[in-house]
Amino acid sequence: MPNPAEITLDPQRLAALAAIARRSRATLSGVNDALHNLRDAKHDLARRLDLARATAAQSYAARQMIGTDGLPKGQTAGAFIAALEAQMADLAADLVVREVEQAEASDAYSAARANLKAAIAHAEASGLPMPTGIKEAA
Amino acid sequence: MLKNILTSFSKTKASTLTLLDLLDQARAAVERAKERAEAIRRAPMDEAGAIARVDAWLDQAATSAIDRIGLEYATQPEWAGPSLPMPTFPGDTAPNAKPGLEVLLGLIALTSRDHLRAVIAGQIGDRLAGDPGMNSQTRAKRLAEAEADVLSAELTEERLVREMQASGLDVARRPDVPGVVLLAADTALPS
Repeated sequence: MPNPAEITLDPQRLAALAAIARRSRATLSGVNDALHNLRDAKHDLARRLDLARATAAQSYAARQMIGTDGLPKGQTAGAFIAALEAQMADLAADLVVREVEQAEASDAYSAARANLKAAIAHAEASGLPMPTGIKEAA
Repeated sequence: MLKNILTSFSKTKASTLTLLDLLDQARAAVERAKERAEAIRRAPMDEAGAIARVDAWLDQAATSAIDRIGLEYATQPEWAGPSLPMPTFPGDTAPNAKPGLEVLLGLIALTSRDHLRAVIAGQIGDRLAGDPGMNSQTRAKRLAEAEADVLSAELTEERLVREMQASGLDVARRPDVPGVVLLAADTALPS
């Protein structure tokens, strides 16, 4: 049976745990940025869709094609709006996936940070040398 | 159980799914060990220990009551009998009855101690309902064993996590892994 007082401690473990915490923070940051970009894209697309619908409702000519505001030339309003709606559905699906990734990355970062804090507390209580830059990562 | 997990690990390093299964097993072993330790912490005290605590409370309540009621002032010529402490605190409109009731309880503990003790002992026996309970020494010994089991299981889990990370798998630790396990040298982990 192991006795906590008899377990050999390795100060290098602090650096390994700090690296994991930094990596998981970078991952979370990346996922957050990606999610932010997707939300921006969804917002822009929603505006384009609103504009296209409004333009299409204005006139028969606009409904049929055409180079009026919000509608590209050579494409019927219905086809254009359907294409935008398809893009919107894809974006919404991507957002769901990214939100799950964000939750996972957030959990991983929280766990890594909690691990590093526990290790730092134990290292200090045990009188282990503290490498530079470790506490900043917690 | 823990040995089996590590034996399986050394045989099946190639399969990620198997490794994750083994990690799940190691974590389940940690959970079970923690539950055993918690059950020991929550196990009822034995009857003798409980009665000893009741005796300590009876002593304390009786002594405190006598100290607070000031019967020693009966030596003073102007003494007209004791009064129960019922202070009115600043801002309160009515006196606080709690100190006075505690004195009364202490006097009951003093004057009817044997009867009160017998009633409480009967209640303790009913509550234990045949369970022998656990005395302090047994609880401390069993708890130390259970906590050693938890540590052993956590060290096994840590070894799996480190080996999986070393082989390139992105596996996260539990947030509540203790510092001693996180800082344990590789050579201190079970093999």
